[in-house]
Amino acid sequence: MDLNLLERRSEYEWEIPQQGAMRVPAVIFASEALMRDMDRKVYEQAVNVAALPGIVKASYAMPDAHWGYGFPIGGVAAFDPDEGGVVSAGGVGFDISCGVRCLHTGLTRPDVVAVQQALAHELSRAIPAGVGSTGEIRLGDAEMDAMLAGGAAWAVQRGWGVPEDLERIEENGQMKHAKPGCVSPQAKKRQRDEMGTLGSGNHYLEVQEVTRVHDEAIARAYGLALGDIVVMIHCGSRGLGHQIGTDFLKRMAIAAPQHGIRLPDRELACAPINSEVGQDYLGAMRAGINCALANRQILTDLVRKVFRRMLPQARLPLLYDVSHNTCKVEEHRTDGGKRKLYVHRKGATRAFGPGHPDVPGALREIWWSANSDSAITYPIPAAAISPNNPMPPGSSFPQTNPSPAPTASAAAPPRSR
Amino acid sequence: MPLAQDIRSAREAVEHLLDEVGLRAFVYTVERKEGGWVLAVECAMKEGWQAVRLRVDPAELRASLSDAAVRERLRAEWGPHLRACAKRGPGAWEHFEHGADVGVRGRGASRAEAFAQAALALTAVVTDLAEVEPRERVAIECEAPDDELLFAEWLNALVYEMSTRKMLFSRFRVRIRGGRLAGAAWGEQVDVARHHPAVEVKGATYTTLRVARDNGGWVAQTVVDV
Repeated sequence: MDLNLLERRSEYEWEIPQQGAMRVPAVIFASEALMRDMDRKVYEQAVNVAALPGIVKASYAMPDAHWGYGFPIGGVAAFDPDEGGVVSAGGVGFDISCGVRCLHTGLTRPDVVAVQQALAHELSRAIPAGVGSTGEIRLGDAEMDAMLAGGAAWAVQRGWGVPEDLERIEENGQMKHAKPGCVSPQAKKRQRDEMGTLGSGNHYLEVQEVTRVHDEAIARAYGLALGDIVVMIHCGSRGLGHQIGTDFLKRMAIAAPQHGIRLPDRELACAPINSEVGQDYLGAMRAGINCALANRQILTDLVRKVFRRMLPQARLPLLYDVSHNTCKVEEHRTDGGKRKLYVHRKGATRAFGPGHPDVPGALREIWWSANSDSAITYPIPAAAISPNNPMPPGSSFPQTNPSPAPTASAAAPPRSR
Repeated sequence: MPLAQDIRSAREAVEHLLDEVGLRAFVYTVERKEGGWVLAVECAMKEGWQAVRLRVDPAELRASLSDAAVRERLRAEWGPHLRACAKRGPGAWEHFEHGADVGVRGRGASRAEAFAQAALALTAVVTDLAEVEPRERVAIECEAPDDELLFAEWLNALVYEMSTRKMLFSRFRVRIRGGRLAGAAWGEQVDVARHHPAVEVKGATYTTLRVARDNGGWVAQTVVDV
């Protein structure tokens, strides 16, 4: 990218000044080296997003931003519904709530290397991946809607995981205000046999080793140390999310002009938040988030089963689960005071500071507990790994040796927000 | 009276064959007449629409659906009778670069042909086209208020069929009237060992979406999310 097009605000912050149809400036966070290598299309797309109605403060792009559709991938933009703000299907992306989940294993490299080939083989057999793959779970209409409303909490209730998992997932594993009724029958049909599948492309399930620790205290609080083995899962809402994106991209492309929204390019298709299409999309998109959360929860259970067979000493507690393709309502302080904004993040991960109420419960105080000696871990009782037939709704798991997660100690520094 | 099922499979076989012969525009009927079966094809010729009548054998037509050698024999037999019919130009498809995703582009003498060519490009994102046998026909219908949205709808309808039927397609037929598309795709079940599918297509985006006249023909393109 030609750096003459931008004004440098600081070492890692670059501004595209407001011009033409832009309602706000665009801001890119990156080092100079990253900026030089960044696609010129990021500039164009960040500028286009800055021209959308109701955008607040700036159209942002992250250091790894690249050419997307409509919004850049690595793009963040907040909209105020009271100022005609819009919601955009392209601003969330086709793979709604695509995200990353990390499981601790309590194992170290030698444990895994001893069974490396067999473990890889068993994981590849247990986790359906790639084109045309199907899972073993079939959801009927009512159960599909329960999943779309309940997310990972639904999956845990059905036996795929333990309640403690939910404390480490955004929204406690359940996106509220989801409207399964706004999800098309086509989208549901695409998902019918795709629960518990990984997908393809850049989606993966990897067994990884901690090879570098950047912050000893926080690593300790996470229960992580050099040489530890973790399992990382990257996937999203599968066919259901893709179809929701497809359905609403078209509805929004048709609706935008009807709402007086002039788009520089159709790929920016959007609708006012306070419109029927906008509200339908938000309801469907939240159902898509729940689908992604439920899917990653089911995959977690499949992984735990494989490890239980191969390495019975492993328990695989969830470290965290965080999505990067979403639109969420958040309270932010802007020049005009506190406002509820609809924040689009596409290929961009939410990162709130310590103590923020939207940080999952078990992780909220981690910055403070980093100063204490106690690790935040919880045991997964062997019995909690679901048998082949998931437990009926409402059943609970026996807890063995429960160890309460430590909370902020009295010595913790005061919160500053 | 012939069974409805016979008529259906005869029509499917005929459509497939006429498409392979490369007729630009045609209508046809398959009827039982004078103790045998007659295929009447009307096709566009230089001097306007003309009718061509051919005797056909329903068993042979049915066989052609699954036997490439029979199809080849029938094409050779019908070819001389249909010589004067206007043929499609040499359509073409290609991929184009788009960072993390991939662009699909089709060119043809008509919009419909450009759409069909772009569909070939769509399959070629996933696998080697030559490996996909056009064994089974899936009817596709969609509509949109303009050409570009219709093109995205066409690709998205194919993505949907690929996803829900676990199929790959290698032959396409498109008819467009007004804002409605009636088409068909021929393909087979995904066979991972043979097709080595590279990636699954999530949907057609509107990025670089374009349907337009181009160099005397038509071009249809967009970026698909993989």
